[in-house]
Amino acid sequence: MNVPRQFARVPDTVDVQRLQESTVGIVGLGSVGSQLALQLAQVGVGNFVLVEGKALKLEHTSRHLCGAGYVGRNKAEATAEALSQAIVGLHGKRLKVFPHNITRTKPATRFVVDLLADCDLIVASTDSRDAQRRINRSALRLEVPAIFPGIDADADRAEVFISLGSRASACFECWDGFRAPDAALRAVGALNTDVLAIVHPTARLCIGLLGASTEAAEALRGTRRDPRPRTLHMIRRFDAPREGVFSGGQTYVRLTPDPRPGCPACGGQAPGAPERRTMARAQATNSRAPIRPQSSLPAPRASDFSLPSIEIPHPLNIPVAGIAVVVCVVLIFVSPPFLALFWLVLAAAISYLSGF
Amino acid sequence: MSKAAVAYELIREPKAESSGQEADLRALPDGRIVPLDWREEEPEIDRGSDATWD
Repeated sequence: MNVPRQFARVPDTVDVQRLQESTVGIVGLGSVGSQLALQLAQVGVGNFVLVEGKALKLEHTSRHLCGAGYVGRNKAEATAEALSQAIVGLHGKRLKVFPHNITRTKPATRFVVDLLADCDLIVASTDSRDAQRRINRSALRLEVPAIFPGIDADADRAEVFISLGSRASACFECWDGFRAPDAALRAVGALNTDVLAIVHPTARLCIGLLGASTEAAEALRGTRRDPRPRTLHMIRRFDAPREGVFSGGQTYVRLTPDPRPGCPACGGQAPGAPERRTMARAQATNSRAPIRPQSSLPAPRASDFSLPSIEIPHPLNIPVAGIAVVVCVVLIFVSPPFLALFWLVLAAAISYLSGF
Repeated sequence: MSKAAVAYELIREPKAESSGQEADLRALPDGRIVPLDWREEEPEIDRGSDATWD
């Protein structure tokens, strides 16, 4: 099948066709998420699930994909529209938009799992620690790879963490568990160049994880000394360039966090645990040995989340629905029989739709 | 095979050749970044000069 013309200048080393058939879920369409979505769409990713509950403000536009014309609109909807204008053929069912805040739902896990069930890769580009952890547990449950880009509050360090499932590597909470639940992982005052410094490697890692480029996947491979996949990529910025003009004064470190024993999300199997020994032995004897499915992984529960959850408001406002039902009930008794039946049906419908 | 397992399959083999410039590092559960062969040193016991318990 021919590559669509708009991707004719994507290098041959990238499997555009594979990307066209892939679905990437992005939770958080702020500066990182929105610009990452464009990077991925420009290289050929054909389907997106965009999840974001907040609206674009004027102060966001200095480093957001969407400009002043989108202020006031939901950021996921705005990003979807910008993508559809930028990339030919990227519209309709290829862009699923969910204008929801995933931390305001209960039960949260089912909600996130439902949103992201069809994704081949999940990007958690949100600055909410609660949301990051919910996404991590949902990705473990779905057995879908997930990637977590973040910039620290001073914008002098950025990191990208990759979750490959609890049997294969440490999960996000294995790595992130040392941070306080309310610790900031957000650069309010960052330049867009600092944001792009994390967007670009994240885009490459996404392409590698989607199996579209062995060159991009190379950054995820370990070394002979430590053959484990490199699931943590850290970028440190220094005040002055140290390695010449093109280094930009940055250092890029790739490493592999150890599983955290007792991790609340994955159990944190320590290296050498039975499952790991089994996998290592299988790898040693047969390079094509399948990875054991994680179906035995305990499903996370809503009570696992330490932060309080808030119900998403129902489409029908509860107090208004209650008053309407009471009025309908009164009208049942004062109306002729044929009208009473109508009020009865209306009251039942309002009750059902509002959950009143 | 799950999608996560498929992704893991793509990258589980180590690089055939290393540039030699890349340091092998570990991330400890407390967030510290240390060399791969780093070991936590056991704290020395200060027995004191007038210790009588040994």
